[in-house]
Amino acid sequence: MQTSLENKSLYLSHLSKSYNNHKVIDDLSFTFNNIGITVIVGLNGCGKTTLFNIINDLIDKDEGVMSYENMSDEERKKECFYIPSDFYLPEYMTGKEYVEFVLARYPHSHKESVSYLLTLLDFNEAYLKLIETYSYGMKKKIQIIAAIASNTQYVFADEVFNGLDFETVLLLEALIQKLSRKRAFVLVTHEMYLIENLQCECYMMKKGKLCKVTQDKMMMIEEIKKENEYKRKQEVINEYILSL
Amino acid sequence: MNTYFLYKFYFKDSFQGLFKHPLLKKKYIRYLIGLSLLIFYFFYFYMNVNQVNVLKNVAMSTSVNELMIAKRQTLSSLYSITFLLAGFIFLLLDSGVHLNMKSIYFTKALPFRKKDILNSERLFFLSLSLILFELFVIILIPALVLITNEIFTSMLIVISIHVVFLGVFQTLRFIRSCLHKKWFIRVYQLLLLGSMYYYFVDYKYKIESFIADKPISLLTITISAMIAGVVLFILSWIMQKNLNLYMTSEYTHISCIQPSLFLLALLRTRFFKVTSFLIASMACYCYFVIKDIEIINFLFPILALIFLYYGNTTMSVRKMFPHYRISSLYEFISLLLIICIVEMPSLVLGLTTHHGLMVFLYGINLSLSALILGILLPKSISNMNELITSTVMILLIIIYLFGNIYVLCTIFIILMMVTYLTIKEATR
Repeated sequence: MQTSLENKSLYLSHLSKSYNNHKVIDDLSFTFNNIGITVIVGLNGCGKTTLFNIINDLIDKDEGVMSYENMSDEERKKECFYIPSDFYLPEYMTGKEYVEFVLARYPHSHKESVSYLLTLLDFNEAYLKLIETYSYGMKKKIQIIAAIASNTQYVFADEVFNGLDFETVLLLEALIQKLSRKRAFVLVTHEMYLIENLQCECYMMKKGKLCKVTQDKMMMIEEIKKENEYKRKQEVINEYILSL
Repeated sequence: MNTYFLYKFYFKDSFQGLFKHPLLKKKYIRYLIGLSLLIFYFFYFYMNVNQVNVLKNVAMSTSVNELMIAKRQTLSSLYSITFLLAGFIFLLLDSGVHLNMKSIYFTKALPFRKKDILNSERLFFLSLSLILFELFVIILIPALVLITNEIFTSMLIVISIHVVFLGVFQTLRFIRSCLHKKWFIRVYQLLLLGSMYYYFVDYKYKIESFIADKPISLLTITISAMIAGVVLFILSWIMQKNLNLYMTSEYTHISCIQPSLFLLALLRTRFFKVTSFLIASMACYCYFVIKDIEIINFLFPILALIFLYYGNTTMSVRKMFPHYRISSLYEFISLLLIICIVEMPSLVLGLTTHHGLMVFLYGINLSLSALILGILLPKSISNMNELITSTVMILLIIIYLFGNIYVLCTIFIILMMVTYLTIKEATR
């Protein structure tokens, strides 16, 4: 599946976003390569989802510019697919109708991929049922099918591995790894296993900015334990246990 | 304690969603709506008081015996209205107020006793029904001067109509709680509606005349009604053991040849299934049995009510519309086209009768109003939203009937603008 946009990158320049005077994203500048896997980690509430929502036009930014090789916003959106952590799905549609509707929005979509993905994710039967009847994991799967078949240059996925059975996690990991040779996957995840095993660039969202971090699990654990905040919370655990 | 806690939770959950829409968050719009409702209510109250004064003057020129008959008739009419209001409010709340998913989860997943859940749910609905009933009582109170001038008797009558209302309402809820299948519930609602209709047009006057002709005092009638109300309430309260409180599916899988995002959002709701079946049945009955096309003219526009649920159905996926490059204008035009298609039967029928374009315009205005209300007050945000939007729609169905073609055209233009703005705000 080739696109004509293989040498182009998505730039974020001086992005800022605040909620009630609290700066969630602070003068963030970043370049997302148009191939490969980028993993973003960070504490709950540090702004990862806000960043994704801004990039995918779900919320407005306070300051900053996004650009994708001088394309208009409309054109840029045709090259980005977003799987949010919350489900913004039309529950009254079947999986098939939803995928067809979504793929119609993307000019480079590859409808033939759908049948492969349905088999891979054991989704053939559920595909024709209403999304309302889907479990949590099934709702994740239908979004993954739409994302991969959309054939967009960028796929932004927020906690996409949550709720998936382990077999699907392994398969999806393998699939994303192979697809990342020609497409870019930007993932938010808390799964240590994936951070360690994916060939990716790992960044941490901290104080409104993205900082490169190590992928080594033991080193990451050591880094977290060094933080003063972590040590304080360890004391809270001890106090709580003593109180029981 | 837990009963009160749950009861408070339901109330808070019901009213907190009322003003969540961005448009309704604006203070000046809230003041405007509040002021308009207040002016409308005082105007309506003033008109009622004026009419009662006219009747009082007429009463002064009749004999004592005739006056007593009239008083007994008025009093029994008051109880008849209370009985009908109990049925009407029961139907309104049963169809229009459902505990949302959040409330059901909170109630059923957390370790509350069954008794607490049952009592809190019943208290919640009783409170809501009383709030609605008080709106009518405030209007009915001036009419008490036609029955008695004694304050004690007046107070007793007011208390007794409340007791009768609660007794009948709770009894209807008890019967409803015994029915578990969806179709039994629909049949029950239809039977109740039919019974209320026949009671109103026929039996009401027979019963009132019967009581009026009997040589009994007003106090006897009042106390008898109160005892009946109390007995009904206590029996139905004690006998109700179950509460059918479960999460239900919202949508039905109806196949569509050309599935459009917007069209499917309208066709696949349970409400569409029920409404279209009811309207189709009534249209067939009017055409084939009573052979009256005139009623059908004003039946088809009622299908506009399906647009009430559009906002709720698309509430979740709407957040992705900017990402999918679906503009508000595109959505607005698509919905306008769907409205025209839905109201096409009204247009055809109107052109073949003397109504012309009026019925078509009436239907379109109802559809746009329903769309606006449904987006502003989606049902899953609050337990009360469905009730409020349904009540407003019932009022609009009546109000728009009084407009001529010029008024309807003006309303249409205003509604078009408001609909577009509402859709734009909802997607922002």
